[in-house]
Amino acid sequence: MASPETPGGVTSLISSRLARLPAAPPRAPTPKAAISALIPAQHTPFGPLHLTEKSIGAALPIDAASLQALALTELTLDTSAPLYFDTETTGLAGGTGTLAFLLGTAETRDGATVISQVHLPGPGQERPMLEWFNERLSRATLLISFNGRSFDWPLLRSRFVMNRLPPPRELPHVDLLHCARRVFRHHLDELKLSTLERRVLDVHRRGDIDGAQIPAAWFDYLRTGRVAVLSRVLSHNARDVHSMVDLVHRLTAAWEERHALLPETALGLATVAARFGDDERALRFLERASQGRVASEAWSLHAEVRRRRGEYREAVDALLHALERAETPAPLHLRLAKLYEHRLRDLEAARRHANLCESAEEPERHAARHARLTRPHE
Amino acid sequence: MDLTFRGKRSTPWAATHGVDGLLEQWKADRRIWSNIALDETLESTTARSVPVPETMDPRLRDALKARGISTLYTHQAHAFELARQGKDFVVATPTASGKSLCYVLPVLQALAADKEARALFLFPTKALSRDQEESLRALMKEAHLDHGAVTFDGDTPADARRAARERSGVILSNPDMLHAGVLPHHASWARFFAGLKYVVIDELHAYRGVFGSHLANVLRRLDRVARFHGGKPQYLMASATIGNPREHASRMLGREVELVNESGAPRGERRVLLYNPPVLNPELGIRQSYVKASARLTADLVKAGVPTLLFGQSRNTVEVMLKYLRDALEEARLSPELVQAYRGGYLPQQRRDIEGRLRSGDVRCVVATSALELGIDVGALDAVVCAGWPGSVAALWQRFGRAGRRQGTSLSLLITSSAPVDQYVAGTAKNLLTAPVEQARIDPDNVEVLVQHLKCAAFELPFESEEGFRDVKAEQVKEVLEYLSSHQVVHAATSPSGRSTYHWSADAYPANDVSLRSVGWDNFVVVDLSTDKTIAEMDWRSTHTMLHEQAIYQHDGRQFQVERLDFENHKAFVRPVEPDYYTDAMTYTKVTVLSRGQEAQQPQCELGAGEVSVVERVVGYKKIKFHTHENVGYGDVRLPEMQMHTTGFWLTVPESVLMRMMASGVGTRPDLLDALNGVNAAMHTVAAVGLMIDPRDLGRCMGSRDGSGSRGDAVYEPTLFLYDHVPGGVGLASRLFDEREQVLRGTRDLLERCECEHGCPSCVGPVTGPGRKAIALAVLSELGVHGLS
Repeated sequence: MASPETPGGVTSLISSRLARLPAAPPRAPTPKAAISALIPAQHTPFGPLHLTEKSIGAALPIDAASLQALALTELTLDTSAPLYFDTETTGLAGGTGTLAFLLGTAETRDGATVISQVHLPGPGQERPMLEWFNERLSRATLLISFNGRSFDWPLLRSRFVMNRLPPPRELPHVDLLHCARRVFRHHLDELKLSTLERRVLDVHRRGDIDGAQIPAAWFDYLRTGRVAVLSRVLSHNARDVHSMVDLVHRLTAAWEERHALLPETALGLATVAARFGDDERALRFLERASQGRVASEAWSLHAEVRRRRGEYREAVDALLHALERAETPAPLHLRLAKLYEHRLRDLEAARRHANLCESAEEPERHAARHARLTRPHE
Repeated sequence: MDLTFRGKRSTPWAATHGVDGLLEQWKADRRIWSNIALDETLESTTARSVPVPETMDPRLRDALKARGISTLYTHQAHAFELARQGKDFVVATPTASGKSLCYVLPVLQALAADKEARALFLFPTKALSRDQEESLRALMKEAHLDHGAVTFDGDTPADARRAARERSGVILSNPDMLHAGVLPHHASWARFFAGLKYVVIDELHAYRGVFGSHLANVLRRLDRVARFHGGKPQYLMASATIGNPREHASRMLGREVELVNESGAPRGERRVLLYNPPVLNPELGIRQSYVKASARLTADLVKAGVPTLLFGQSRNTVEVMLKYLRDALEEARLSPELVQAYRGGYLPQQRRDIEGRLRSGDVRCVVATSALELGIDVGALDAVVCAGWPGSVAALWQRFGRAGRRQGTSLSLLITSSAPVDQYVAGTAKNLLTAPVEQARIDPDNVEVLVQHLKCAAFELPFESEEGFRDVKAEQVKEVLEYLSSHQVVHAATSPSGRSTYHWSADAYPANDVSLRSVGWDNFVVVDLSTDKTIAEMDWRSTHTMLHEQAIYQHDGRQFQVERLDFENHKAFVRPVEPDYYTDAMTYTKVTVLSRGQEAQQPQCELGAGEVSVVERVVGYKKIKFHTHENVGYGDVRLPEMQMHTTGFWLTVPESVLMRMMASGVGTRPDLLDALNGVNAAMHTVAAVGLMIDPRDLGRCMGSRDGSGSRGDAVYEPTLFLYDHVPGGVGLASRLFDEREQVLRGTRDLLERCECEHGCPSCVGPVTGPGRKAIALAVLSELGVHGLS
């Protein structure tokens, strides 16, 4: 048979088809290593490394047990050498065509917290950055990021593979997005780092670049060699890393009950404590939480902690408190009905609450409950 | 004492005599046999087997032995040996000849030899990969191979994906998932690509036209990514009957491929019959309904105890035939459950259930659309009935191939409808067995398709300056990259070693902008409001014609009325009803020129190409009474139009030409329009062949350039459109414009060379009366089109 031929005029066809498409302005030559204007290069065996560092003051110790509880992890954490990291990337969709063009880290050096930032001079020149990061990893005991578990870390890992380097060392990794979501979800609608900064850390950025504009800043730099917008990306990234450090201290201080809390925050912390199994701490947080807008939820959780401890009377009391301000009472009545029926054996009270919980359970189950409680006593 | 009766049960079909007996019965019945337009016998062939090769891993041999397999058919052994020699191959043996073992055995051999070996199986549908996953896992278990086989598609849960990537020996997927979900994330698949030994492509014939051209490019990307990780996969392919399996496979891979087409599987004698329903009204040319005829003849087969597959051409006819068949069985006091429907709309477990019952004999007949064509194993069936011409010789043999008894006679029966194409087939029935099988065509170098995939490839890995794209030469790749670079989609950078490299440089995920298939395949679900249960799924396009509000939706022999169609959430809500009619949607297509990109003024006509809007709309539906097929009413449908912007090529015939021809007595205006429609059909054929595409990739329509003519307005300048049947277009129309001289002259040539007298499906379309072809040739002369000398 004939060999599979590439049809004759492919080349000419491509040119003619391409010629028909609208022409673009000629490409401006990219000045060589223009990033040097922003961050001078350091020489490394792997090529130029555009690294800038600054100290942001004394490093505060992090209590390992507190962070472990906040992260809800079973791993025992070693907080002696945490490595905070955050990347700025050429896109948010991920995939091997997305680069991390700026990598910011924070670590402790001689008792101070030092923020380091490495910027790529251009695509295809990632090796010095990755080698540098590997070195940071080899000294660290713990990774801390904001949404890094699902975004930054897999992306960096891909970059290692794409540069034919062995995958980086896997360390315990605390993702502050998840920690913060659990603690602050009762009074913050969106959990972006910038929101947390404003509402929790009381830090107000000026002239910050919108995150959505960051990929464009990199592509603009590639085309024109201009670094002005990149300098805004650099300060944005530094601020993000700085805020992560502050957020960890803010969270651990709150967990350790070192300062006054909003009732909503106390409720978030109580939820974490209850899930972590620290009931005493949960009940202390709940006391504060029950003094505000979230009182009903606080009492409801209080009841759950008590029930788990076998303290059914206290659980009932807490549920009755919760009922006082509940917007949807039916689920509370259901829990009361169950407690009265199965634990306190007070069928009269159980029946009373069961009559008020219809909307909280499936019709068949509710009918069964009703039938069980209303049948004549044997 | 045991008083249980031990005698053989008397079953209703025990009295009848299988295929041979029934054929005798039909032959004796003049009302049936006088309508048989073709009765041919295909000789039986005996098995050709060889012992299981010595080179096969003992675990695999033992597993086969435990299944009672000690020999392989010659084609299976040939495929095994080719794979061992490191060759790519395509198996193109008949249906049910044991094609899957041809690729499964080499894959399992590789897994047995190497813990780190990996294989990728690609199937055109999700359902097929799930099916193969089951049977593959069973064989792997029996061979004590613990590599795992996992389906990886849009439905794979997130936590299973990681395990699949890192540990599974075999990944079963589809081209769309490979394109958008795997290749752009290949860094996470490093271990898989490093060990990738085999890529299996089953149902290769399904990848033709633009879809096939896309797949060829996805494979170019796959080879490139695998090479990056150190893998160099070998391709094992299988195809149903097509005219050019080897050429098709070779174009797909861009290199020589070995062909395995000599089946060693035994085959019993086959009778091929064509039944053309009798004419009821000679004046109007009305024939007896082929749907009813198909149901009646199939009922005979079921009553005679012959396991039968009945193929309909649409979901509607499948359901109608199911109903008729069940009615007929009830009349004969047989269980209506002996007949089951099987179609794409059924949920996977419903389909599995039917397959199982067919194997066990609880089901005697399955009525299906082409879903069964796609390789689902239902075992050997004794008869296949095709209700209506399936559109091509290849499709007919793919269906007929389902009847395949190892011994004894099997029956393949085609029942033609009164549609012109069917009547053409019936009229030339003697040629049916020797008619050439259609070829599958792809054009991997279609520039638009290639450019899209080069973008995806640049995203996956930067291009080195001297890099080719598998069989695309480096200088051609460079030309495209320079073009993409001038559009700032890629960035040309000089690496520290001084080589220039093209990097993806846009905040976008290019694979998301490239759909391999021209139609969406996001399904709608059908919810029964009386039970709140999902009863079926349906693809997006069929939704318009099958699930519009008020439609009678037929499912498993029951009727439902569509109460609400929730377009946004892809749900249709139906309620069971018992109407005496079913509905049939009416659609119309309108093409409007949006911008004239290129134009050429011929002396007698205008030719152009540019952007067009194609609007397809369901305008209403007919109510058709069951059994009598009377039209008992109409209804309106309010559905969003399916609008598509694409590129089109057109030919406008000036009013002056029409006037002149009418004046000189060539024909009336309707005659001329009818002939132009025929010219359009012929142009479509010529264009599809010239472009190496599947005819369905190119739409055709006659109207006026501003879209007014399609509504039947009295006066307009008729314009023949050929358009890319893909949103945005893939450059077919502008190639047609470039090749316009050849398209027109080729059209004339086709008409002149065609041996038919007045017109047939191969040229101006099938006709019932004289005139069209002659007028079409006259029109072409008037337009100044002469044949290729």
